[in-house]
Amino acid sequence: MLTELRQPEAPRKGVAMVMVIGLVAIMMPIIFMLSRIGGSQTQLAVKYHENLVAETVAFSGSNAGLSRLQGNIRGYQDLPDETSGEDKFSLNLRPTGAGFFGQTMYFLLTRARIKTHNYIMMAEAEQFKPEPAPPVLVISRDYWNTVEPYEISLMADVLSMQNYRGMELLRLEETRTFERKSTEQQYKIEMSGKKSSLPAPLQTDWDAMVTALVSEKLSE
Amino acid sequence: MSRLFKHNRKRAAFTMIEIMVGATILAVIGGMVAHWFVMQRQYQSRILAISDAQQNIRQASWNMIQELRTARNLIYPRLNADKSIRSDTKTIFKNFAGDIVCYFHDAATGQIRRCLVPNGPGVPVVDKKPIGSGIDKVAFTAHDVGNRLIGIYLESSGTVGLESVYLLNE
Repeated sequence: MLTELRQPEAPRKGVAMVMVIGLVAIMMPIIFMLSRIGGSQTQLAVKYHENLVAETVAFSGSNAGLSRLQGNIRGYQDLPDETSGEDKFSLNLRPTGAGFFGQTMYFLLTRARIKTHNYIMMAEAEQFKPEPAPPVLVISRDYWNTVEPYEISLMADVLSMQNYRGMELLRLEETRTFERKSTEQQYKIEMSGKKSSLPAPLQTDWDAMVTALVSEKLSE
Repeated sequence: MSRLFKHNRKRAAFTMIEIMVGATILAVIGGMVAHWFVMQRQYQSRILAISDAQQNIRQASWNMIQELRTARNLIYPRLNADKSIRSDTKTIFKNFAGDIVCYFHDAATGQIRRCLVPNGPGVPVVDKKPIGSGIDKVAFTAHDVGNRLIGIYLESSGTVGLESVYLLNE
């Protein structure tokens, strides 16, 4: 009689026991392992994304700072913190001297921070005198992937920067002299002769480029 | 007493039905966990793919913008004869030093390459390293009559970037 009464409960108890044993012995370690793997991978992906966002904000901030310099804000050394979307960035302008033409030279440091990600970008900026009207010429050269603040403390660094600038200006003088001294025919022959050395995608339209270059050639 | 003893001996093992019901429920739970795991993996790979694409676009556009900003004159592309805008996968301009710089897209490798053509005697040189990688589509668009404004459209793995640069120097 006792056995007959207990019989309906027996399968449910058995199922429960199988489930408990299965969950504890098999499922729990698997679930734990999967959640650890999934969780850490997702965290990594999210951190990577945050790092990229920090970089983007620094990048945008740097461009914003350079635009301000173009906007004729001379000697503006106290740029306020701003935001790009929801994320803040700070700007710091460090004057590093004057160039060959009396232009003011700066290092523009832009910093963006998102959680533990700290991104600092430096751009060299040269601001020429705003005459007769804005926009003012600003020449920038970036140091991609700069993650530490960079402070210029040596005159040699300033001089090397000025010399690099000077090299470009000397080359400009050379190219302009070449254009002025050459006749249209000489210039066309020189530029057309480069066609065979160009990569294939550029060769197709090169003749039209030469025509445009010749038509805008400087003359004495 | 004898029947009770016999019954207890039977309960030492599980019946087939018990195991099947238990295994079915465990399989359902397992399936749900596996589905969640697959979803997580897809989410991770989507984030990483978007991040990679954004990174590719940003680096390529940054490299080009820095040089274009200080460039002197846009040679190609230019507006059409009817003043409508014109796009191409390459652009050619005079840089700050007066030399001719060409950016062009190599669709086979997904790279944007830079070629420096001396404005005077000398041989054109293609940079060893590309200025952009992982780029599926590029379009340089001429926007103004003065040849000073250029739009850059970049596409990488379904993510797009659009920049516009004004050439500062004469």
